[in-house]
Amino acid sequence: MATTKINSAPQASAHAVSPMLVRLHPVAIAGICDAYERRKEKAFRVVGTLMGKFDGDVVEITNCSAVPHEEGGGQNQMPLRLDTEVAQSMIELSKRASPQETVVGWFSTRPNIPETSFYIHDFYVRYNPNIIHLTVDCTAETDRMPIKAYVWSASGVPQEPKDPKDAAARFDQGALFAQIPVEIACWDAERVGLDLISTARKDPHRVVSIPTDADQVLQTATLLDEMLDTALGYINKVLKDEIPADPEIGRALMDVIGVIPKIDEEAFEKMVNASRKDVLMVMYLSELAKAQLALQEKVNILPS
Amino acid sequence: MATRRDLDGPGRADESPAQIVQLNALVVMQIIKQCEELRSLGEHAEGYLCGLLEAERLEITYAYPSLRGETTDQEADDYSDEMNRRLRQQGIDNMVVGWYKSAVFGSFLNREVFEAQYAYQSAVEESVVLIYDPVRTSQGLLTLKAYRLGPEIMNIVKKDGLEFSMESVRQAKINVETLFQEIPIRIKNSHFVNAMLSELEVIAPSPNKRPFLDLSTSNILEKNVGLLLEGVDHLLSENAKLTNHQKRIQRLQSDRIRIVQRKNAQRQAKGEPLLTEDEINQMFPRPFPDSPRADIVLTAAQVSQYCDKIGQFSAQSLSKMQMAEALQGKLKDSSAAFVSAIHKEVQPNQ
Repeated sequence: MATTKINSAPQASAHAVSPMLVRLHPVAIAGICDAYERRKEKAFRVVGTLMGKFDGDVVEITNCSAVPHEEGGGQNQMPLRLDTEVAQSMIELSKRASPQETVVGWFSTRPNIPETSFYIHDFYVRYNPNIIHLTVDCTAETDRMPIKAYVWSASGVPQEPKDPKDAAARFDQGALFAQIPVEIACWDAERVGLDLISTARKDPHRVVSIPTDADQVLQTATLLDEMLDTALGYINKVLKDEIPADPEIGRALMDVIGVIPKIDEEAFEKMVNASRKDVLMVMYLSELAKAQLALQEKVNILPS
Repeated sequence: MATRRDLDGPGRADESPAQIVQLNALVVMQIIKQCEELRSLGEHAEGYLCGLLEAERLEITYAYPSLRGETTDQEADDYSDEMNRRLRQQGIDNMVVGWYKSAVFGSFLNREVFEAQYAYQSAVEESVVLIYDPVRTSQGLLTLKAYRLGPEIMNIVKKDGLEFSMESVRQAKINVETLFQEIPIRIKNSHFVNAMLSELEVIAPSPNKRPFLDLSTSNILEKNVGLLLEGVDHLLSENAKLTNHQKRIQRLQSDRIRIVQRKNAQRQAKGEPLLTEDEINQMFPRPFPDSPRADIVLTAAQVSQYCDKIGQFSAQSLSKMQMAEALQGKLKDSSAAFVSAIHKEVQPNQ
C-alpha cells in the first residue's frame, strides 16, 4: 500500500465565498454508512472524500468514497496515515464518469473533531479552499445519528510564522471548524427510492420487494382512506364539542376543499368514459398484438 | 425451472443459480442518483454492478457509472479495472456481476443490450442487467427490474454465434418468455442502514406528496402505443425480409433440381448411371444460407414487453378511474343501490 505520511502543508489558497449551507443527498449518507460497515477491525474512524458541486454558498453532496487510513485516536500515538493514492485515484475516476462532480469536502464517522482532522483537512484543501467537513456519528453512543457540517475558518490575530517551511505554522493564526447547517436534499425519484427502502425497517427480516402497479394503487387507496378517516375523525370530534376547533386546521381543511375542482356530473362522466374507452382500446390492441405474437411463435415451431 | 429444481433437489450444480437478486440500500440509491443525474441532461445512464454470489441469490452491493460519451473498449476496460482495484482497497466487493441501464417504458430489448448481456453472462453466469425506468419512478413507483438471458438462448449463441439461425430457434423452442428472464428483486437493509433511515425520517420526514393517483392516461398511453407501433412495424419488415429469403431459397432449390435433372438427362442419353446422392451433394457443397433470426426474436420479445407494460398500466388506470368515479357524484347512486340491495336481503320473499 503506497501511503503518504502527511507532513507537508499545501499552499493556503485565497479566500472565496465560504459555504453557508450543505445539501446532502441520501445516496451519500448511504455510502458513508456502507463505508463504516466495511471498516477495518478496531478502526478509530472511517474517513473519505465527498463529491458534489458548489452552487454559490450552497454545497451539494451527491457522492462519496472511503479512503483507507490509519490513526490511533486518543491514547496511543500511532501516526496518521492516509492513503492519498487511493483518494486521488478515486477522485479522478469519478471525474471521468461524472465530470459535473468535484471535491466538496470529506467525511468522518465520529462526532468529534480530533487534532488529526486538521491534517486530513489540509490534504483536501488542495482541491478547493472552500471544502467542508461532514461528521456522521456512527458510534451509536446516543440514540441518534447526528449529521453535522463544518467549514474551516480562520480566527484570531494572524501571527508571523517563525519558520515559513514549518507545517504547523499555518495554524498559528488560530482557526476553528465552524458549524454550518445541513439539509437533506432529495430529487423526486430519490425520495421514492428512500420511501421504499424505509418500509423495510418494519419488516422482521429487513427485506422489501419492489411493488407492482397494482400494489401501488392499493397502497395509495389505503393511505387516502386513512387520511380521510383522520380528517373525518377530527371534524366529528369538533362537531360534538369534544375538542376545541383549531383555526389553523380549519383553514387547512378549507384549502383542501377549495382545491377540489367542481365538475359537472355529466361532464365528469363523459371525461371518465372517454379515457376509459381509450384505455380499453389500447388494451385490446396490445392483447391483439400479443395473440399475434403467440401465433407466430407456434407457426415457427411447427416443423416445416 | 422450479419443477426441475424440485425433482433434482436443491443445490444442483447444473441448475441456473441465483434465482433472486438482492440489493442493498446503497445500490438502489446509487442507481437512482446516477440515472437521474444523466436524465436531467437528457441521456441514458449505464454502469457496472459489483457484488457477490451466494448459493441461492446474487447480492449486489455497489454500483458505479460507466464512462460517458464515445469511448473505446480499451478505455472502458481500463477504467473498470482501475475502479475495481480501488474498490478492493476500500474493502468493497469488486466482482462485476452485471450492469444497469436506464430505459423508459421497457424499451430495452434490443441488439445492443442482448450482446452486452451475453458478454456479461459468458464471463459470470449469474450476471444480470438491472433496468431502471426514470419516468415511472418519478411518478412514484420505483421501477427497477432484473433480467438475465435464458439458458436456452445462451446455448444457442454459444453454438451459432450472435446471428443464430431459425433452425436452432425452432429446436430450442425459444419464445418471448424464455429469451430474457425476469429475476425477482428484493432489497435488504442492514441494521445500521435501518438506523440511518430512522435518523433521516426524523430530520427529513417524507413529505407524503403522492403524485401517483394521477388520472391522466393519454400521455403515457400515447407513448406506449407509439413504441408498440414501432415494434410491430419492425416486426413486419423483418417478416417481409424472411419471406423474401424463403422465396430466394425456393428459387435456389428449383435451380438445383433443374441442374440435376439436366445432368441426369445427359447421362441417360449417354447411357451412364444417374447421379447418386453423394455426387449431388458434391456438386452443391454449400447448404442453403440461413436467415439470421436474432433481430426478429428480439423484436418479438420487445413487442411482448410493450404489451405487458400496457396491460399493467391499463389495469391500474382503470382501477384509479373506478375510484375517482366512486368519489365523484356516483356516491349517491351507489349508496341508493346499496340500500335497495339491503332491502332485498332483508325481505327476500317479497
